[in-house]
Amino acid sequence: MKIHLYERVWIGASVAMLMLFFGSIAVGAVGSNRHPPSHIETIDPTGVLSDARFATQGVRTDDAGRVHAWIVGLTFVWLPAELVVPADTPVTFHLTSVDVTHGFSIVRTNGQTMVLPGYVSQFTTTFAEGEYLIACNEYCGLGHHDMAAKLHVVPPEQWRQATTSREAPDTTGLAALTPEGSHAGH
Amino acid sequence: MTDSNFRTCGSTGLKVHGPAELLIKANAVVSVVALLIGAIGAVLLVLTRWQAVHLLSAPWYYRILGVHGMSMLIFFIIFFEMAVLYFASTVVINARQVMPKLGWASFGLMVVGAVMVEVMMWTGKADVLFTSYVPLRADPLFYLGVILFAVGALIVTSMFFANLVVAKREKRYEGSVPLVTFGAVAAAIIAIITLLHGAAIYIPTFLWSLGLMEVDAQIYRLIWWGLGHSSQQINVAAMVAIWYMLGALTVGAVVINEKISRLAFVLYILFISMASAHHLLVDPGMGPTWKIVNTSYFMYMAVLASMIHGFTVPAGMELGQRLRGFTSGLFEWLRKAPWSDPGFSSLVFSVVVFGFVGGITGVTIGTEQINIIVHNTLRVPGHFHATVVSGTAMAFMGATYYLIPLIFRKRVAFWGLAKIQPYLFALGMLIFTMSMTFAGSFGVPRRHWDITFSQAPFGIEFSPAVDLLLGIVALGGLMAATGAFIFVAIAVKSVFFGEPLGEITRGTAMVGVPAGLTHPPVHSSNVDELNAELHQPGRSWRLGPAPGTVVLVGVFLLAFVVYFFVNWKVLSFVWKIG
Ligand code: HEM
Ligand SMILES: [Cu+2]
Ligand SMILES: [Cu+2]
Repeated sequence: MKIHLYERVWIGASVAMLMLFFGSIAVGAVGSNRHPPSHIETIDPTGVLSDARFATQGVRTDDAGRVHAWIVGLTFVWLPAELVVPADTPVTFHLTSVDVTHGFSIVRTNGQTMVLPGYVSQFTTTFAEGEYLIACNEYCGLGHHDMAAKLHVVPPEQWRQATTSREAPDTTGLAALTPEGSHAGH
Repeated sequence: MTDSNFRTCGSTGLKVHGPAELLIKANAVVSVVALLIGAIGAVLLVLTRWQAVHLLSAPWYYRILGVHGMSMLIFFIIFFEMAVLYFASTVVINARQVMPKLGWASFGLMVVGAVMVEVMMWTGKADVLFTSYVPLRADPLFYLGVILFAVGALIVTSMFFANLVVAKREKRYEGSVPLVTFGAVAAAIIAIITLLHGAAIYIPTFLWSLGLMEVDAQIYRLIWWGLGHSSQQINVAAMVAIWYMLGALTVGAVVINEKISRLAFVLYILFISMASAHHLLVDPGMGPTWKIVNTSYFMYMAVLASMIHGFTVPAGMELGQRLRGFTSGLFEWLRKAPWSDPGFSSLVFSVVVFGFVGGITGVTIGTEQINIIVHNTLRVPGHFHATVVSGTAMAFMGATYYLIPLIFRKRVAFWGLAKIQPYLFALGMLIFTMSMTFAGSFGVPRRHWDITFSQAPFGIEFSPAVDLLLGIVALGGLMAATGAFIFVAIAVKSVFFGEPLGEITRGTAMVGVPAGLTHPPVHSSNVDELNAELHQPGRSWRLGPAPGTVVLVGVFLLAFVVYFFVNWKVLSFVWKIG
């Protein structure tokens, strides 16, 4: 097959460009281990609130001192509706849904994952100090737009002091479902 | 079957089979009706997303969002594609329509299915949007409607292949099928793959809605996007086939390398269904390797195919023009092109907006890591309105300006409006898609009624720039919707009340007849001489026979790389791990 020079140059340039893009993906993925949430873990969607992982929702540290946030989505709230995490510290989020598919998105950060019933989504990221909006970004029903939460990122020392007093029983979990309860986090 | 059912087209010499013609007409008309419904929905949607106006209530916003997605992406586009399949397997190769009765039966199935879906959506029994992610539940009739529609489409696609086989046996054409039909073959093969995915997901979902079985939310998303994404590839293949057709009709474009173009269509078939993975990049149920392989290697092979068409189509147009004698400088061929032929302007806008906005944003946001700041923001509808709307729908509109005289044998009504319609639609969509992309860069979610979060127990605000951008989105959207309404008016008036075409006298301009038919683009009498001259080595700064195109695609490549890496840079601001 005869291919003109200018066609060959174009195809070559296109291939080079795509290789460059592929290289950047590979460097991001292998070099700095950057991936979107791709954590394959399942859960019985009908038993989420009695499952040891999600029975209490909120921010906890594990034995190694790492920070975890356990969050449940249900139409049309995130449990808990407010989270406090330390700044510049890796936080691992674990999420699942008890009903339909939701989208957990900490707006203008790289914290986002789809939240599907039957699956536990997980991702780890760090935040600069400040307040962030958490939106549901997958249509989940006619009240979808009301599904919002707030993330407070505070200096690590302040956070450590506050956690000791916050270890108290869950006020940000199921109680948030009731009108009074939804303000319990303040 | 005798040949008495054929008529010969006065301007192209093609033989048109009566029963095929009727099926083309019926499908095209229903397609335009769906476009009208979708465009009314579009106006309501932009006026709601424009926070200052915020027209619809929340339930109606979501309802109309579902109606718009279904009416446009599924009904408008697919009915039109059915017409394209009939056209490419009969008229283009002088062949007859086999089993026209079966064609009407499937048309009936598709119309009944579409009406069922519309009724369910408008009456609030299917507030699940067009993706209908399980376990959001709609009335079983909604899923049944989708199934009936898909079965009809599957039959039409099979008839397309039957037409080709019969045409071959009856020796209706010589050699291999023309490139336009070849493109349609690619589209039809992808359509079969797509519709099988559709069956694999909608039949279980229908049974689930009746309480007869379980459907896993992640598996639903996986197979649904096997349907949803592959169907976009049907649109791309059909659009590219139309690019080649309109190029030949309007400026006598040549196919610079038949084999390469065919190969590029084959790449679409081989690599596309895997690219559905880019819809699932932030899903929990798939591992990173699967995501990377599917969104880079497989997707990039399909992108390469589009890069090839994106070069051969304009280069073919440039060569066609140069062979007609427009040889001076880099761009005389473009300046002296028939800009007032709506078929030509549609073609150019379709190529340019699809490539520059749709293609560049698509490859970028489909990147595994970058997707995490893009997924489900307004950047996503910003991207696909540049592909399926500014690309495919625009190409379909351009083709219609030729179908009206060629198939319906009518003059194009409102001719003055028809000449400006592509400009209005394309410019509107350009403004719409770019401002939507910018608004999405601020994190504004798509499919969202209230980005002020007024019901949240605390106030949160997006940057004030977002309000401005959403106003511009509305402006562009209203312009494009106006373009769509004008198109509907032209199509309906021409088809039902249009002036008969009458005799075309070559060389005399006629109201309502595109220039490609009254002044068919013929190459100069010294075409061989011109051709040899164009191919002389070292000519035009060594840029080859189509130097203007080389410059244009060079700009394109540069824009592509810059946009891609700017997005990595932006990502690095928020991604502090690692
Ligand atoms: C005529 C001009 C058009 C305008 C002004 C327009 C406008 C819009 C708007 C404002 C949205 C909602 C975005 C959101 O709030 O999330 C939307 C969604 C959408 N549009 Fe269009 N659109 C147009 C034409 C089309 C066409 C021709 C197609 C398909 C061929 C199309 C396919 C879609 C789809 C699939 C969605 C997503 C629906 C969903 O999220 O469920 N649009 N459009
Ligand atoms: Cu939600
Ligand atoms: Cu939601």
